[in-house]
Amino acid sequence: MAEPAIKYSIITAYSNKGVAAAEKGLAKLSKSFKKTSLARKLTFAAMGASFVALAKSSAQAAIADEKSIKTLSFTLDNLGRSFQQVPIENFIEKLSRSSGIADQDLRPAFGQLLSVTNDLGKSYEAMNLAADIAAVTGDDFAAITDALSKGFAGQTTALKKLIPGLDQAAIKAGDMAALMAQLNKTFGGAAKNNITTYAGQLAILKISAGKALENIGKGLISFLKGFTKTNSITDLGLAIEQLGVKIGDIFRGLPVYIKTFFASTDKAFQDSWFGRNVLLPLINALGKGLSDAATAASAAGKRIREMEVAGGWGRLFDITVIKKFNKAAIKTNDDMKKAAATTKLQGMFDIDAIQIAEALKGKVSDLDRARLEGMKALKTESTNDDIAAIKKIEYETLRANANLNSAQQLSAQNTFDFYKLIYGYAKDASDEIAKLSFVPKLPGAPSTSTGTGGGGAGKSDVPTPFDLSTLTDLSYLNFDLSGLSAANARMEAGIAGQGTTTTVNMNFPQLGFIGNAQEMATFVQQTIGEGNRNGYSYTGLAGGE
Amino acid sequence: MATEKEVVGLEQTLQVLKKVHRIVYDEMNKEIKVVLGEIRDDAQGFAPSTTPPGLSNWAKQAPGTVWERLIFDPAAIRKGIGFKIGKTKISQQGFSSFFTIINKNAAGMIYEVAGTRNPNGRPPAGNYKRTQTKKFSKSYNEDAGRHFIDAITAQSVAVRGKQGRLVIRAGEKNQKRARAAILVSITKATRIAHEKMPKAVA
Repeated sequence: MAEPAIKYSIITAYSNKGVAAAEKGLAKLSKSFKKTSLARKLTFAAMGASFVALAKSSAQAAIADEKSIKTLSFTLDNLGRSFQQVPIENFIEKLSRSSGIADQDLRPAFGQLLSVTNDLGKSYEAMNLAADIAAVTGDDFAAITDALSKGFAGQTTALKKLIPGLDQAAIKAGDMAALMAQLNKTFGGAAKNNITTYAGQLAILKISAGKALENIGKGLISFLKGFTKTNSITDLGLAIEQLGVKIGDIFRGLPVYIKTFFASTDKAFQDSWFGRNVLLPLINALGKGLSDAATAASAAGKRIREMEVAGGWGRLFDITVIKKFNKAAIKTNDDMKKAAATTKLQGMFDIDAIQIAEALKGKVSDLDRARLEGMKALKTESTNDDIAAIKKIEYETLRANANLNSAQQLSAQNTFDFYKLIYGYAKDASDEIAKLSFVPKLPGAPSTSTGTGGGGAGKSDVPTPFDLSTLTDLSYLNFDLSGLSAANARMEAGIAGQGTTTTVNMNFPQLGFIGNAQEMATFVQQTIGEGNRNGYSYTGLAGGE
Repeated sequence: MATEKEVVGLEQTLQVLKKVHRIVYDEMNKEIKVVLGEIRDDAQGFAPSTTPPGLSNWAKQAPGTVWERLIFDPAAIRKGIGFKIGKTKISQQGFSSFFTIINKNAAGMIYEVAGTRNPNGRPPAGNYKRTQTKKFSKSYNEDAGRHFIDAITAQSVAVRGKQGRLVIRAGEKNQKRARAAILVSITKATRIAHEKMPKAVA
């Protein structure tokens, strides 16, 4: 980490290295990203997601539109005005475009007004007026038409509340004609003026977008109908369900496909230990699990469809489905476990493998260990460990041979003959050296050789050091050997004299004669007592130590 | 085969000069060192020899405390002022410096820039004393920062707004002359190196 410091730069330069690198990197990244399948997937995923969203919203819009049309059609049928549906739809279409109110809102309102007034003209007038009022007050169109329809039915309270300032007499009298005239005077033409405003234009644009969405939804439904070759929504649903069955079939077919693929592989691979004991049981278990899951899913899908048609019991049904799925999943899991256990057991009862493993645990030579590992390697699929095992065996063989040679050499060295031979050579060399003229003769050295290479010299007498006759000529040391001998004799005589007993009488001038041991003890006691009186201490001296 | 390569920019020029003729490059650096040394000496001359009046405790921080690193030591402050020849790390804006005057002593840095951001000291943290931000003063004496800055400003004499008091002040003072001298040295070295280069045989 750089040490913090305040820096003042005298000369500064701009380096575009970083910028250029960043630009280059970004370009590269962009290029590589375009190349990757991930990008494509993401793009398609985004497209798919947006398409699904569009399809969903457009289908919903189309369904809502159809529903409102059906509702109005039902009202008109009840009123005996089915034949007027087309001009009514045209009116609603125009009003929607001129006021910016969705046709899905206009249709129920028109139906409500028409059912109350049973007069097409009044309904048209009320619809236009409601659109004008909504443009001015900003109130909900449905609420205004509801108030108007109630007014036409004689209940003007809602209208009074919604639009204050209306003629009280007309409200009390329920004179809707007067009220309509007043409202027209107040709000008439507001919707048309509103169109010229920005908000009004936006509302109209929204209406157009909604229409477009409805059209897309209608197109999508008809496309799906054509795609699945069906004529009704119910048939379309069935076709989609059949598609689900096909997906389920993929689940069923997948294990079969894997099995087929396995069957198409090399026979040696199929017969190998790995193929027989690991891969095949796993494929079987996986296949069974997938098949069970597909069956359960298919059955669940069928039940869902039936229950949706029949209605009700949704919650209970969901629980049943979940349980079934769980059961299938557990079963698959159990099958996998069983397959794994079988593989493990087969591994456990592979006699060769057991024997090899046990042998490897024991105390074996390196070569035997290498051979055992080679056998173990043969039991695997991989050939790499075989090669390694061969190399190790070769190496260990060489090593074992080398050890054997070395041991033979050592055993030869440990024999008696070997040392005898070596010693013989050394003795011969020593004798040859001794024969040389300048080498002084050793005292007591044997005059003759005991032979060469005959297993060592003969044992000679060791000279006595203090026996003058055995001593070599030491005159060059100038010792007085005769004097030394006399002194030695004196010392010997002194030692011998100490062996005899001599009585010595001691005469102490102050005490007189001490003739025996009793007198000596008395004298010593007196001396100690006097010493104590004079302040001397004899502690530690008694005991004769 | 002789090839020609155009050398553009200060960085490339210095790199090529160093590679092509090291002796000339070293001689050039010697000249530049003299110029930078003058600015360094100037900055060291601005460094105070005593603590600012009223801030004598700045030089008496107990050893072993967190403030020991920031202790005011005139000799250390002067020693911390130096120069550097060589390219610095490229900033986020893409600029790098080649000849820099450095103030790296902690107390020297404080003396250099105290009050440049907040001329009256950092605003008091008030009820937010536990906050980790350094934008606010945590001192119970709300005037502590202003007192500290005023003392330094009074001693350093120069009231230079957001500019520094030591290396920045010396750098600003000598900038034009130093830059011209350095560029002359580089140009001269480049010309000499070019003349000494073996010429391509026609």
